Amino acid sequence: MNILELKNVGLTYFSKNGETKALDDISFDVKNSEFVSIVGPSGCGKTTILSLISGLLSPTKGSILVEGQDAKISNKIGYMFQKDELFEWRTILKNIYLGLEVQGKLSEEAKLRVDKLLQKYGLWEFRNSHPSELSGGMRQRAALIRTLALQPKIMLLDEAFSALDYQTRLNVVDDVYKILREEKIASILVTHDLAEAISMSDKIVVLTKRPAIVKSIHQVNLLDIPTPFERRESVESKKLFNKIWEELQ
Amino acid sequence: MKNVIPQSKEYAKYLSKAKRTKIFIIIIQIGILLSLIGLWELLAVTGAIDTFIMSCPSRIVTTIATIAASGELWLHISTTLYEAIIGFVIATALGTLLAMLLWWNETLRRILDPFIVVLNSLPKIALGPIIIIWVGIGTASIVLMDVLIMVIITTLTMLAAFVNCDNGKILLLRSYNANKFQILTKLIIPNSICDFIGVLKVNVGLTWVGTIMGEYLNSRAGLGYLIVYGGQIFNLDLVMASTVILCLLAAVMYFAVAWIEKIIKKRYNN
Repeated sequence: MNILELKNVGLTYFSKNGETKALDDISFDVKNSEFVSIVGPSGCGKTTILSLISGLLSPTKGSILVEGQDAKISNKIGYMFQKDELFEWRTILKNIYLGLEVQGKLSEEAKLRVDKLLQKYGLWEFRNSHPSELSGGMRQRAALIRTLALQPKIMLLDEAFSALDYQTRLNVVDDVYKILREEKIASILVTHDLAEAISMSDKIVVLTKRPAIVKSIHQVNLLDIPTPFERRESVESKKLFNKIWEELQ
Repeated sequence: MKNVIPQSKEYAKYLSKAKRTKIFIIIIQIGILLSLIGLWELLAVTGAIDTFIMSCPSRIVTTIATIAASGELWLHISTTLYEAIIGFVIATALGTLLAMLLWWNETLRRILDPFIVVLNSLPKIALGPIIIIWVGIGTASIVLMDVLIMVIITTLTMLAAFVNCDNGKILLLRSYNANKFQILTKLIIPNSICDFIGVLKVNVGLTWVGTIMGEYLNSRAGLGYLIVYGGQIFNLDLVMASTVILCLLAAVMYFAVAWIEKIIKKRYNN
């Protein structure tokens, strides 16, 4: 079943300097608990697609449906940014409560759920620490739990690993991948890193340069390999890398 | 990470050195103050300076004691202190509220921008006669002068802090469908706490400027009044004595703000 459907979505920006057609015609689906990556030349509007799905922007044409409902009113989407955006004046626990507080959902039940997530993903001892006391990888994990606390059906990852150093990054990718699979959340990753996209995804959407249309969609068949780290080494992923690389040239 | 470090010999040595440096600095500071006072007194006693123009520490103390004996010391101190504190509180609160209003409404911000810039560069003392004619003489006009001196710069500083908030964090809250009020209370205000402390520290100095300036314009009591009065009758002892008391009050108020800063910083872990 499709949890998310984009149909002929287009977006034009208006500014004093004129109008910019960012997205021309974008259509693709995301199935339940599927992991989809969006790649394309820089400036082609990848992040814009995430803003549209999350309802931060409205498309100028086409429609975006989350479980058959308009994305603008849907409350089922979690968003992870390049930076963890943790608030330094709040403890890790209070940071994780942020979304629940804003949406008026900070019930005893929700608190228990957060406690379980903290324990499960190794941040329990750090719940009363402030963000500056944590390493980059732990901070990104805290940001992930903050998003999971709202029980999203779809997770949007906007270059979510780019701010981390390479070694931390490989570990965090494995971490986040495992968590998202365990929680059975459909995910959309936007990234410049083609190898990273291939290592995590079930499906890859390749965009053209601006105004973007969908150039091609590739299925990735690596499910028998458990972690993104190991997938990077497989022959299949290298073949796919070369194929998409050529398309992007 | 806050680890408890086991006390090694080197660490104990490091700590004692830091402590000794701190004590050394305090001793030197007190030393400088005492030698300046001593030198001043010495020059006065030997007749190297004219105490009629320069006054001297012993005469300052005598003057303060005389005012205190007449029972008027507290009247003057409390008058000025009251004006300074009321002005400080009103200007800081009003300026911060105005900044919030301007943050909230961008159109209003753009409309008022040129007016605020002009008001900021206007020397407020020029408004003295207008203030007196409009609100009359007395405490109200002094406090108003004091508030005028602080409020615009408070508004501008806090507005800059509010507007400069990291866009990514705003986007995060918007992705939770947060409304504008939630963005203000959960992000903008706590994020600007450091700037607010900066404003408090600037205002705690400015409020004395405003109050004394107000008292120069018109007053029947207060330290500014004593200074003007002392100047008019050429009683430099009175002028110096009032200035010394003013210094002490300003220091006390500064430390009060430093204490507030400590509490706020502890609460917000900045």
